[in-house]
Amino acid sequence: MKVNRSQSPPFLTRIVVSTLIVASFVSLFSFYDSKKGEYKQLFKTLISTSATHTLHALDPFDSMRMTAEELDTGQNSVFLATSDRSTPRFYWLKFQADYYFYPTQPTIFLYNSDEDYAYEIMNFTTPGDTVYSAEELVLDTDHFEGRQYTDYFEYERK
Amino acid sequence: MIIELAFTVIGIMIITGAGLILLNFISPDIPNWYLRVALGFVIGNLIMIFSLSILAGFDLLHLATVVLMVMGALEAGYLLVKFRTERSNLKSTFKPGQIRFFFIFSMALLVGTILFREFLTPLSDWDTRAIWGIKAKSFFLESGFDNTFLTSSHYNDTHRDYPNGLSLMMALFYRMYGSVQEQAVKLYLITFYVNILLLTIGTLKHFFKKTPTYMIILLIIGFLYTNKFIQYSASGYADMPLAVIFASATLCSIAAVTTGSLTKSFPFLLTGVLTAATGVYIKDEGLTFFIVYAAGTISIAACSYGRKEISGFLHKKMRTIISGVALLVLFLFGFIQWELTKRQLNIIDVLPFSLDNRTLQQQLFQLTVIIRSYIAMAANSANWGMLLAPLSLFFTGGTISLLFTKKMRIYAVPGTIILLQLCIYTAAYFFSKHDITWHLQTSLERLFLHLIPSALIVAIFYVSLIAKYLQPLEHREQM
Repeated sequence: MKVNRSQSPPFLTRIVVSTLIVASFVSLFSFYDSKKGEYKQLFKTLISTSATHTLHALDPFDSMRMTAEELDTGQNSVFLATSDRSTPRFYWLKFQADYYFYPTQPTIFLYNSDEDYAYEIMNFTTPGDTVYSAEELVLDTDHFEGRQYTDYFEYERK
Repeated sequence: MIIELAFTVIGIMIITGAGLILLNFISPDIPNWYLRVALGFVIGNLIMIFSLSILAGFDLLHLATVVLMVMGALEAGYLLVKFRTERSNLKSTFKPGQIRFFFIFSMALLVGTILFREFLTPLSDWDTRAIWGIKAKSFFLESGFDNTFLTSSHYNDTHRDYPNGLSLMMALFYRMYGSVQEQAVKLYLITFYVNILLLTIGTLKHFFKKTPTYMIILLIIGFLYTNKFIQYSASGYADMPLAVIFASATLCSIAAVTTGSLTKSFPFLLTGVLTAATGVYIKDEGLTFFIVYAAGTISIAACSYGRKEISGFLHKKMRTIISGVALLVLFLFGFIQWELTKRQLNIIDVLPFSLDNRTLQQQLFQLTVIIRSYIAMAANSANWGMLLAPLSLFFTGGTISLLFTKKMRIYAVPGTIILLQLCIYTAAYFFSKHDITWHLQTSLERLFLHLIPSALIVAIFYVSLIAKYLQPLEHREQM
């Protein structure tokens, strides 16, 4: 079959445009598919409250910080507890605490579910910090979908 | 919040303005305003980060906003003088050209949907809070490198050794606001994503002058409006800024290899090296890219031109070369200062790899895991859309074929720089001291993010080469 060379560019353009239309549709669909829940939640929260409150509502760590401050005003010694130091969860919690309380260095409690007691983690406490026992901490696991390493333990004092 | 956003816009304008003015001196022939603005933004960031690094070194970060305002005043003065003396030139320099309403509306819609989400959510990703965010907070609350975060052993778990560029810029904006405002600073962070769009549009407009608007929009949605780009657009990770830097430098190297003479390509090479140098302030990967890029630049000069032309150029333009190198060394001074500070503060470089005694079988297994992950990542349409796999093939195939085509080998240099950077990433994974599956899971998508915009720009360049050869001989321009 003979190909007329002068006709090839428009033909190629058509192929390129059609491919791009399909690819754009896939991108938009993936975006819709993965983010629709998040956008729905954002719209809902925004309608029911102000932008600043929306932010606090969507930041679990910020509300946790506020709870901690309410519980232990000015001390910054109460923040969080976690079950295992070796997991990313522990570091995630530590980084959150460090971020919120900087330059103050908060106390972090390690909660050992097997032995059922809470103890201070070396290097993260300073003399005089309050140490709470397991009885004083009630742990409640919560999971946030769609985020990596955002499992956290929220606690309240009995 | 409105005031903070206004401050952010003013800051971005001053930073970009500084870059545009320097660009006007070193590389006045940037083809169109899309590219000029994007490159101006990167160079402006280099100027600002360099200034902030020096201030931090001397414990003077409280003067950061004063420096920004002085920079703004100097820019205003420069523009005023320029406007009086070269009114017509200035108009053509900053003339945006014909912009269609449909195009602006579509772009605003794309960026607007991302901004909506970003303005309502905190900077809550892992590295953002654990590394860049807390560093930014420390530079906001304290005046220099000798601060609690960098000196206290409490923060040993964090990557304090990472470069400070992004954190210093975030701290500059916090200082403008007077508080840590995570939402307002996202407007600055998303500018990097917008600049990737500008670079892509500018490259298309340069190589295909009559590209229809709808095609540009489709191409942007297909390649850059994908889940991972949206996720990292303003997340506070340093990877999007690095992607812009790599893409800007790649664009400069493409401009350099297509000029045809050393005198004409030198300004592009210098601009490219300066943009690549911005990367050393952002992340460790930026340093490896800078080294590879500098080597690529020298190879462009050495391979494409004869000895006579090179010696003639060196003889004629010695002062220009010395000025260019001096500018580069000056801008790298902030990085050298940080390296010395790290030693002083006893901050250890935490490298993700080690040379331990693995058996050959274990090493081969590691390599197969890495390659398998690369292929899976490129073919992941939920993350990157459907075009990444064909782009990867076309980019890699195109670069390799150009490398083996003697007369066109020079055109392979920009692509080779990107491939070499990928090889460095592969080597880092190969010698990884972590569990390789975990290491790949937590970082590979971000490393891909660094390289995709550059690969896209190189691919557009390759398509332009093919299009030229498809044209009838009488219409083909001399290449």
